[in-house]
Amino acid sequence: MTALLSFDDVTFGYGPGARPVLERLSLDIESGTATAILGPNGVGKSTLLHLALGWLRAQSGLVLLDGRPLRAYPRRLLGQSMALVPQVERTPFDYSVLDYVLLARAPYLASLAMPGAEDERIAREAIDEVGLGPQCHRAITTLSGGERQNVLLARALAQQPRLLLMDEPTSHLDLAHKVGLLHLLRDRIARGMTVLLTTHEPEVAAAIATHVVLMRGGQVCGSGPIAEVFTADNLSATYGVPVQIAQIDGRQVVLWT
Amino acid sequence: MAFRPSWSWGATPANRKLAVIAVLLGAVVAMSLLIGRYPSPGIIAPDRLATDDLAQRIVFNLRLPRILTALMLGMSLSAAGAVFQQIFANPLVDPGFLGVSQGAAFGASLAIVFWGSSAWLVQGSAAIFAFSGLGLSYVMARRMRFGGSVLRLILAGIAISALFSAGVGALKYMADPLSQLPEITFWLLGGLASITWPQFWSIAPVVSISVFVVYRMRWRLNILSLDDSTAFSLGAAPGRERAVLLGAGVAATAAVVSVCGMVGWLGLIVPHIARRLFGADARHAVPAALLIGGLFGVLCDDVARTLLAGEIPIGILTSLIGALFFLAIFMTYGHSGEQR
Repeated sequence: MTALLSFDDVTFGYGPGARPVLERLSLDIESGTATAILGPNGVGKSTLLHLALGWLRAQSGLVLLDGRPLRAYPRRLLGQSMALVPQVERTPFDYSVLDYVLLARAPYLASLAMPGAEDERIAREAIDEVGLGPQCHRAITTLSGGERQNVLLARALAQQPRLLLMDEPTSHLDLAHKVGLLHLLRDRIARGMTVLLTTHEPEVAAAIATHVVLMRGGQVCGSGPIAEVFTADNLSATYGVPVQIAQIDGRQVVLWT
Repeated sequence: MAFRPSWSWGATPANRKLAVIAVLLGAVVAMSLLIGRYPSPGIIAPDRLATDDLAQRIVFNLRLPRILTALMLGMSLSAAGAVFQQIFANPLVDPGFLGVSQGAAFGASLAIVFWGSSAWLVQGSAAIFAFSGLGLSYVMARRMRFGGSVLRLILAGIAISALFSAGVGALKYMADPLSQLPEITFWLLGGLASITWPQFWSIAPVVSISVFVVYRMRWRLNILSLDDSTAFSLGAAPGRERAVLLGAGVAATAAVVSVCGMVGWLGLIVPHIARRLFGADARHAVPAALLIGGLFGVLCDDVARTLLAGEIPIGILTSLIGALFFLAIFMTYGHSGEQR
């Protein structure tokens, strides 16, 4: 069975002659899994997401979706297959939440068409799912950071992707928003959505991921089911600081000294 | 003017507001035809128009092309302003900023100083240099080694505009202070006094096509206002779509500026007013900017040609009326009932 997304011997650097950010990286993301990418700052986690999206192109090696190279797909089809929740997104314009989430329908529309009633229904459903239903007509510029992150998630859900890519989804969230987001994701994952996310918080991986990828120095230094890879030794080696993993109520908590 | 929104949402409040503005615009255009300084300052009575030969010629050969050009002027600058602000995700940019306005000013001044003041030469030279300004900005932006594509374009536009405005300064210094300098000054302040049918027809095709392109692609503007990678993830081709929309905006701007001279502020202010009244979604903001811009263009030109016995430069009026309207709008209306 071919993986949903795979990196085959991918090397990528920003600009010719620059030191590669990712070097000869290979990785398979199976359908129905939730994979968390962990690793120190600057290791190429976000770059990996942008390569998965097809926005960045590898200097050598291939990124494949369903076994076909990404560049063989029309953009629109990629947009129907994958959605990105960026870490932050700034806009000076006060789009309403609904108008903003409706942009997710672009990959399904002819190039000059505008969203119709069915698109609006899908967008509203996604907005309800992230709990912003009552704020549907509010300007996004008036929302809090946590609410804006939820708008980005709603947009990604309204895109109805097979693979959801998330870049540090919890980095700007307070505890309540973080818990809300993780519950929502866990629910979606349980219903079969494939998720690939980067995070700086090992606990986030422990809470929702089925698989973990550890990155160091532009390469994968460990990957597999969370039970096998998420160990104190591996995390210590990845981050270069000694850590321990404690079990509290069946939950894994990373301790540092 | 018939205005039929093509989206599928029917009679929404926004569409009703647009229809009201469209009707208002039609009424203003019709009234403008009758307002002027012949036979005496004020309105020509319709029954006089039926009998007076000179009145007919004034209305249909002088006022009508001028009013239609003022309409195109307002629509073009506003549509281009809306495009530029959304594509550059910067509410402070104006359609002339990529070297277009200063390029046109340089071209017109050059023609006035060196080649006499034939209207066609001035228009042609202004149009050529407007596009040169854009072309230079674009080429420079590609060669810059700094920032992202949007930032590079903005920086290159600023630099090229400064170069051309230095050129305009030099030409003003060289110009004959009695004949050429006043002409340059009037051109830089804008005016539609010399517009007749040939001028109107010389820009109408470019303006119509450009405005149509912007109108049809307006929803894409929302997507293009996001980061390139996000726009890509939504299935867009950010580079290509931006180039098409910017090209349309610049072509319309260069065309109207070449015959009307520099008309400041409209392209900056009208998109703000449109977004304030209709929300940021370009589905409504772009048609609103087109209609409100047309309304502004025609009203400002009405005042320019009728208020005093002499012609008032329209650039002065667009700045004055635009700025006052702008302040009034921001002090009265909030967006979607939200106060910030």
